[in-house]
Amino acid sequence: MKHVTYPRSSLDSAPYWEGCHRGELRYQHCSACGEVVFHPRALCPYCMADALVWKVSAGRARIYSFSVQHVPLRPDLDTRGPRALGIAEVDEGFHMFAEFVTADLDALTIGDPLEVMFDRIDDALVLPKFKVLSR
Amino acid sequence: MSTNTLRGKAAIVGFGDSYCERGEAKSAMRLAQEAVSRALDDAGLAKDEIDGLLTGRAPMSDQRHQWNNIFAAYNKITPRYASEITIHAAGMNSMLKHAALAVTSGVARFVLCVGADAVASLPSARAQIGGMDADPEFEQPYEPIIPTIYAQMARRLMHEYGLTEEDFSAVAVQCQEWAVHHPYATKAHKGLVTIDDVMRSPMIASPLRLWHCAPWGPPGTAGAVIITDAETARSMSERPLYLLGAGECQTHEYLTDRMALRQSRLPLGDLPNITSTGCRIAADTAYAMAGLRPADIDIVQTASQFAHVELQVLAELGFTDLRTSGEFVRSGATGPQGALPTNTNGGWLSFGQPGVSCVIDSISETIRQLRGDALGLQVKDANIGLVHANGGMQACHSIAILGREP
Repeated sequence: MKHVTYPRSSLDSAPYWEGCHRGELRYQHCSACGEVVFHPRALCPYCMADALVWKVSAGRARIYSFSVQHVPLRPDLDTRGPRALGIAEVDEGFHMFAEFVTADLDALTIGDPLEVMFDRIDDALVLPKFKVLSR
Repeated sequence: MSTNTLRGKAAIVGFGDSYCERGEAKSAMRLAQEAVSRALDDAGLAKDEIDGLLTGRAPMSDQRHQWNNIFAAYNKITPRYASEITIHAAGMNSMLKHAALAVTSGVARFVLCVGADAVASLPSARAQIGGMDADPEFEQPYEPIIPTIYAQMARRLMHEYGLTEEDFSAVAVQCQEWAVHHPYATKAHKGLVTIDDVMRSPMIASPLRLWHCAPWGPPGTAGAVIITDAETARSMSERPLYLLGAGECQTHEYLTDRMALRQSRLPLGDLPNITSTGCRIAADTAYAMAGLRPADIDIVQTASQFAHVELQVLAELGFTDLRTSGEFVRSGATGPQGALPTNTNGGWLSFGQPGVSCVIDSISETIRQLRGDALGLQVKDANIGLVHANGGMQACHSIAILGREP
């Protein structure tokens, strides 16, 4: 199947996507107010200081919420079966949307442990996803 | 929160709506023109007397920016006060407030508010907007459909508040009880359904099944409202409808990023979460402006793209507790025999979504009910109606309260 949806990236988030190409899940930390910042921003959205520093996550998370999507976005192009998509609560203190990869979609539950993996879609896109670990 | 002083000072003096029949195709522009023509006749106004023009978000079937400018030029209207009001499509509800601000301050005398769409009849256009309003950088690359985004909230409602799939299903059942009586409701022909029927419909994005999701349709709709100051309205019309309350609130844009909202001055519960919305804040603002309580409301239209949204909205509007909201709906409270007639045209779940004009459809239904001109089931003695609108991924909520008396 052909991947059709590429991220609408920006100057401010480029280091995040570069990180994915290197197998790093990056997030930001504000050295002025101490908040963890995700999604990537130019200035800190909490204190508005120009003091954001990039960090690398250890890649461990838990399922905050999820849905098993049975209908593809583009049925004409997408032959994948049902997939789990949801919000991951990453240990460093931020939340991100991702695909949760598991052989047992029916067993998924909120709180399941996750580990980041990097799916190389093509030369242009490496997409972080999460492997569902056993409870 | 400050309370504004707009209550009863502006009124609807002209109204028109237009609908596609099942299987009929009309452009959003034609539907909008038809609605405006009817609103002008209803007000007894010539087009040249319109000096203000507001439109909502551009029709999904058109998608040109500055649709207010396009609409004005298309119809040879030359407004001196005009804008597109967008807090997503919920801005169509807020048009009433913006128009009231204009006509009570002397900025304009007659403000025409228009909403239209006809994307339901255009499958190719619909394919292009499948993931619209999801984050184009951090959500869309995973290719979610919109039900999958809304399902994240449904899942948390089940986890945090003990709501069940049967609770969601009860909403769909009740919407259908109204829709079967409405000539343009897109699911009217499907007849009454039971909770079991809903629970047997195909899974779309768990826990949401087909009947938990608003369908596309009717093929197109439009509504037009002309607002002026209350005194002028009384001199022109025997049945003006007054804007009693209005409020709005935006809490986020993309759903996942809502989890980065860690603090707020507003009562949004324990942050971060995706189970509280700006509806409560919008409603509190509207009630305060109107000097009304939930018990004073005769009819309600909610913007429920998905069944669980109606439960959240009924709770945040102050009609029930979220934990018992499913029971509240199952009791028949929001149905044709209930004390709180809700979504009296079938709502977005059964009347359907023609596109962004589902917001103006809720306004049209409220105006018709308050005037005693319902196209479907007429609620007896409906004097005060509340219209709720929700835009994006529950990002923006807008409330308007309309009444027969100032």
